[in-house]
Amino acid sequence: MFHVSKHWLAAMAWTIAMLVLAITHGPASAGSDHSNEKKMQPIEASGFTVTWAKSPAPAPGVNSAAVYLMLENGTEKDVQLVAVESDAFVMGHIHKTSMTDGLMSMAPVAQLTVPASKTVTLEPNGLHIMLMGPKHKFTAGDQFPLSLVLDNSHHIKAVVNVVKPGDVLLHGHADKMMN
Amino acid sequence: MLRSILFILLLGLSVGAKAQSVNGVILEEAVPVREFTLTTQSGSTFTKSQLKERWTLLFLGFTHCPDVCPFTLANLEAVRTELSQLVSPNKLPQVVFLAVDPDRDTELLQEYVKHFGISFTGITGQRAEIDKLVESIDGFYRLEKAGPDDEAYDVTHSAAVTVINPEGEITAKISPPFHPFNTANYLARHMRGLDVMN
Ligand SMILES: [Cu+2]
Repeated sequence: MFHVSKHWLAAMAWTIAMLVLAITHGPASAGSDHSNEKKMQPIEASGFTVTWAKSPAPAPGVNSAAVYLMLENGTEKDVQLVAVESDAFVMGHIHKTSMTDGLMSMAPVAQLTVPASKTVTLEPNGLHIMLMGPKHKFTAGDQFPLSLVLDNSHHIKAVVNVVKPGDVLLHGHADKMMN
Repeated sequence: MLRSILFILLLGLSVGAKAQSVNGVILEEAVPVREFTLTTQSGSTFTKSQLKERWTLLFLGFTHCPDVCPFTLANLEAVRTELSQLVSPNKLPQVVFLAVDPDRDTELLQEYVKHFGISFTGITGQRAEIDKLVESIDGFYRLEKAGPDDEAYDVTHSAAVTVINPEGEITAKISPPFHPFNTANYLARHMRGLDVMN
């Protein structure tokens, strides 16, 4: 018996769409105006520290993943985070979840200011990096690379730990509590 | 390891408990949930009778929700864990996740619930039946589809968790953040009828 599920077809169509996107737009990126620089080896930004980078393993059939992290700007200059890239995903964006009149919605953030000597926290129900189109399946315990692109096109490299869906909870709250 | 983190967390919470109140609203009069017919992740029928004889924490979301829904589910599981220290097992509320995006949710729901490995029931079904329950709990959702081919759309939806009593009546609403310890205490008082009116 041969059975093609609706879901399979949708997944196929989606994969093709993402491939087209990947071919026309190069590796995963959000924002624009830096496609030329990408052909060159990116310059690694110094003075930045990424901690707590984790991504809850997406449920089967879900093609997006949220990444949470803390980014410390140890320099004396404010910087703008303008894009995110990962070799493990087709594209990425910075997103903000907000609640207005009791409604939760998600919107892209074009650029995120990381003030001098400050730490920006991306955590549930606030800011997150949303990666779309995983190139393979991720489960808790896996890792993947992430690049945070600054407005001067320098990159901050990070390694993201894939965790179980509930595992962001304790840390996120503990961090908040300890402040 | 988890235990010690939890302990530190609790310590932190008890120190900062005052500042971390719960955004809850207790209804002056309980509102009965209207009849509806939906299906659980395992394919069984879920109607108003499944809301009876136990307390329920109901919230709406969708399986492709990357941020809010997994976080709320994890929080409600933590609330249940806290609550198990405070109330008898038969008073422990069931968590129900109403998936409002059936085009994508129906197929994924079973795997979705399994993926979390925690105790909750996922329900979805026909749009009209979903809407009955959404209306009943005074909830709202909107599919943010850019066009017919948009497969990666977001869904704007109510943030609140609806508290339903064993008679199938809505008695309270809780809004984020759902701090496990405080929410559990709030609910324990609520279920005992010891509400602090807000
Ligand atoms: Cu997002």
